[in-house]
Amino acid sequence: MVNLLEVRDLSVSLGGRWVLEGVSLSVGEGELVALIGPNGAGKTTLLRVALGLIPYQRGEVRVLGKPPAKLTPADRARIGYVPQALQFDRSMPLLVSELLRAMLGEAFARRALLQHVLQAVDAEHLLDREVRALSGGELQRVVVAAALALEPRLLLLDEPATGIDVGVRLQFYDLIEEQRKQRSIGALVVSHDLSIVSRYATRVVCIHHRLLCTGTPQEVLQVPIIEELYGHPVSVYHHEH
Amino acid sequence: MLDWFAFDFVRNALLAMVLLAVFYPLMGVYVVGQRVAYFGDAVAHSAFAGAALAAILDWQMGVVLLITAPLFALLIAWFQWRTNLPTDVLLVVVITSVSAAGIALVSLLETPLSLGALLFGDLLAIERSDLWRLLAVDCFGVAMLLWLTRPLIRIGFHRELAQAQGVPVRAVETLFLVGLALVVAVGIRAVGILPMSALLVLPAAAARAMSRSFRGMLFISAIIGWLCLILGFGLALWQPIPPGAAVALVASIVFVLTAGVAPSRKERGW
Repeated sequence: MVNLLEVRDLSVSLGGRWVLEGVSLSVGEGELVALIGPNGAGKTTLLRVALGLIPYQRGEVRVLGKPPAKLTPADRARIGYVPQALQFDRSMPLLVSELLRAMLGEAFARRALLQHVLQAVDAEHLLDREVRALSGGELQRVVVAAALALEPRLLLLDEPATGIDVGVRLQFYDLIEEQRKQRSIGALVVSHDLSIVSRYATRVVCIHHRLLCTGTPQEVLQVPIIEELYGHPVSVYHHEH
Repeated sequence: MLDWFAFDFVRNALLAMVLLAVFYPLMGVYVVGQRVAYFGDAVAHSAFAGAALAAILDWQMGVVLLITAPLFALLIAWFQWRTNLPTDVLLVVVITSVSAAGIALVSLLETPLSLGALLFGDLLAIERSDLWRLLAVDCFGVAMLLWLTRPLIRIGFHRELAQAQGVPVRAVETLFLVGLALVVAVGIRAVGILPMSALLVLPAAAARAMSRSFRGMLFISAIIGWLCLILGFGLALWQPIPPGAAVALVASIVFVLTAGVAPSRKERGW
């Protein structure tokens, strides 16, 4: 199995504080790795390092076989990224169709293609809507659709289903599951939704500045481990894969 | 009134107005979208220093501004990148210091340069060489926007997402700022330092409140820009008001009217 993302002994310091210390993980072809941990554990930082958005001090990071700084625009087109809680200037007039054309390029200039892109997340009715008038969940769906449209090899998703209702959330993860199995894409998903993690992840990595544990959902999503990770009493129900 | 058009200076002024109206309100849409209106203002104020330098070197001000404005834009961009100062604070510092230095130099050198012409432009003193520069900057600007529209929309929507998706954000932003500096530098001779932002920003700001789409905003901004320039120029011919100030005045009135007519954020639901 080829590793699409490989992180070894990664340490990242932001504002003089070590956010990540000696974290290692990998995402191979056909894997959906869930990254879990409490708020401020360094999950988003890890994703941002993998995308080359922030530098790291120690360790080694390889994305599609290259250090993040060496990724070309063509490489980046093969990485689908959905950031956490999209915030943008809501005063600019922009239609969803115009945003998608800007994001996806000339190959998607035709209206029918854009509708097809949105269909994947049950959002074709949003094509002619103003971006600034979308709810958080609707906007998240548009960005997720754009991330999937270019048939990426690796997905880096930072709480991608935040604000999306349960039905569409399952539909979205079903779609990733389908792409994972059919096209062997790999995905690293930051999520607090342990039910989703249990149902879809092939492997779970838990971090809290350091690597705490890694394994299958059945191995990791155990009451003592989760209680220690989040610091709260929990009960766990496992989905059968 | 038609007798006016027998004069070369009136015809030149009209041509300059057309060249300004064709492109500046369109550029304004991108300036508003990238939230760099204040940046354009800072570059416009650098004309004080540029004018002083032109007087020292005994060069045409229009030529000197074409060199100093982009250099100044790069300097601000570099400062912005190197320091943690909020953009608005940095630009206020820049505007204040560069204006003070320029005005002091212009005054000390006792040049024939009129501060009034610098502040409000001199559309009726436009020469052939100014027109050629305006035409060149219009062509360059249109080509730049055709090339950069997609990345600029992506950066305007979500800078980090654009960066993660491979848009060379810093290069695109720098190129856009240099382009903006050239546009501002060439337009100053006609409309002046103070009304420059009005011409760039007000039509686009008015259009923003009235549009649903980016394309619609471009279209409405262009129409408002034409309207402001025609009415402003007419006002300047009719009354002893500098054309730049007249255009800015009309643009401000149009902006206030459209802001009152356009649906509010609450009515739009965002």
